[in-house]
Amino acid sequence: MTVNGCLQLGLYLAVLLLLVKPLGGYMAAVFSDESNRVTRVGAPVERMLYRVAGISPDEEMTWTRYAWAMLIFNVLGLFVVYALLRLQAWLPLNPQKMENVAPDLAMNTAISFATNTNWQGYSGESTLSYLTQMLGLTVQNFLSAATGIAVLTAVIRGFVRRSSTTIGNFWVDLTRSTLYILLPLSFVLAIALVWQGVPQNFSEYKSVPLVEQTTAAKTVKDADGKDVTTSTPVTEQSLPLGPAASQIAIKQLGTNGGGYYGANSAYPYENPTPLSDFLESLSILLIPAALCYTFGKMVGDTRQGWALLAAMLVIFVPLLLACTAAEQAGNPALSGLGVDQTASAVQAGGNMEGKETRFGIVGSARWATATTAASNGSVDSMHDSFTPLGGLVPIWLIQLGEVIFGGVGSGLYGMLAFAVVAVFIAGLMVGRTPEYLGKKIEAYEMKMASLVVLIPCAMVVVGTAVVISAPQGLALLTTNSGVHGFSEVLYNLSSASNNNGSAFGGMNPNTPFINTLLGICMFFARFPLAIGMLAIAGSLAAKKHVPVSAGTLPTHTPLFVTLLAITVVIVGALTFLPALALGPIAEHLAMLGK
Amino acid sequence: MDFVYLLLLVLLVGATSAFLRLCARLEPRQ
Repeated sequence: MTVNGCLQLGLYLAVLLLLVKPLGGYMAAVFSDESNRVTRVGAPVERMLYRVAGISPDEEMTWTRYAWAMLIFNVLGLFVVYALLRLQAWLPLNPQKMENVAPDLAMNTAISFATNTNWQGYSGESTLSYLTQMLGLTVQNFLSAATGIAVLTAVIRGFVRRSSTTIGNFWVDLTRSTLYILLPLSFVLAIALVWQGVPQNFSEYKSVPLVEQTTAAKTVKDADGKDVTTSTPVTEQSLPLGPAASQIAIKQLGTNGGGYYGANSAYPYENPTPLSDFLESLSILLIPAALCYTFGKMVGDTRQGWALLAAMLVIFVPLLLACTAAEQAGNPALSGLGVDQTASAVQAGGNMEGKETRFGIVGSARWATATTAASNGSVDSMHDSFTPLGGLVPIWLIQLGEVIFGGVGSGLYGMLAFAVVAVFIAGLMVGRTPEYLGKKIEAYEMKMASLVVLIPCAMVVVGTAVVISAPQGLALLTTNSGVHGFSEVLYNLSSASNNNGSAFGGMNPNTPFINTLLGICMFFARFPLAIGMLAIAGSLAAKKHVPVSAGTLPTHTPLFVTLLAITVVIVGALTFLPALALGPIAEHLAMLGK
Repeated sequence: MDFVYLLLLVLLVGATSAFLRLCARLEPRQ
């Protein structure tokens, strides 16, 4: 790694950590039961929204009612997106005359955006109308992210409340997440992105003459059935425009990741400069990191929040450094051919295949690590072109369950499921009933936490097995077979089954077979897990507080941070090491042997 | 083809609803 690289990564982490406390404290104020300066400012708008929607904000919900509200609301949103995709050709704001989307792709995309996954089997600029992008996808970006924060807030109340049958009001939590957190932050980021050159308009696509003309080769059959290659001069380029900045801002902040353009944040209009790259990659981790402080503040002991953040960083930082070092080291097979891969004043060095020169090694590795640690899934480089070990990092980060920062809300409630498992393991070691934050962890909480941890793991391994066993699955591998082809399948199933949404590339993402399989994985990775965590919240809220005693395991100490990090890593390692050995690890050994 | 995929969505929602009911039934009385 270069000194410049270390400084860039250090600056990124420093800015992120500096923002945790102010933003985390602000979010805690947003969800406070008592009136405060933050909620008083937005109170008129909030009250109006409740009145229009017929919501009684003071009405508390049991965990089952909260879960039903969450499920019904998100499913309705899913059907709205499906309808928009199937009817867009006849709807307004479609200057490029985009056709209706096929039913299988519409189903996959609707689930993808309702579940905060944002897996994309299409290119936005050649498939979707402006209305679909705005009313369908951007709205779902806000609502799916707000749902994650709402569920987390309810889970935190489960730890805080004593002998209570309720865990809050879903509609209030959803409204406050959107109104006070996601909308203002997205507005600020969208303005910054427009400043950096990201389009925000309703113009038709512009055709401009190419500075350097080129030719397009096309192979067709002649009358005798022989292949004939024709060469057509290309003199013009189409520049896709539209309301991009507003969608890109929330796709980063809401850990959604679905790009306005097909190449996502590698596309110059989606991410034009190194500064926009820094701001967008910072936005990926901003809310998930700050929510740790919010958690500490809401449970009345900020050390608890810092401990969870520390456990995330203990895993994240070494993997960030490993990914950057692997990409900076480049490919030894190319060194053998005399290719210069050293960093210098005129080149980034290392493995630059699939990376944008304006971002270089560090910007690309930083983004790849952040986007897979969080369940964001946007990309500024092609992960398929990473070195085997560089590519292993994003795959494994996804497979750890999207709890190292994770999605907004969903990452932290996933980490809390691991915390429940960790205190249970510690309880087994010393022979005492496990406790976490003054609540006894008993059989019901352990069953639910186990389901939350294991459901995504099961879908990754079963889904990967289905793809590599079925002819329709193997047919998806159009550019690579062997170990790299297996890595592509493993990555993409891991991505869908953990609501990440990024793709390893190289695999055809749009056939009825894969659209259906990934749709099922994305749906079950989101809603049953949220329900499981709400069940834990309801059960904990009903319990009495257990006073701290000599047998209580402190959960704010380095010992607990280590135990929690080890629990996450062991689950990930035990489940996925055999699969990783068949993919990126085998590929790395093969590369060294060449 | 819309019918097939809409039916699949209904089945996914139905399975999740059943999971929710099961979680509620398993919850111990405090």
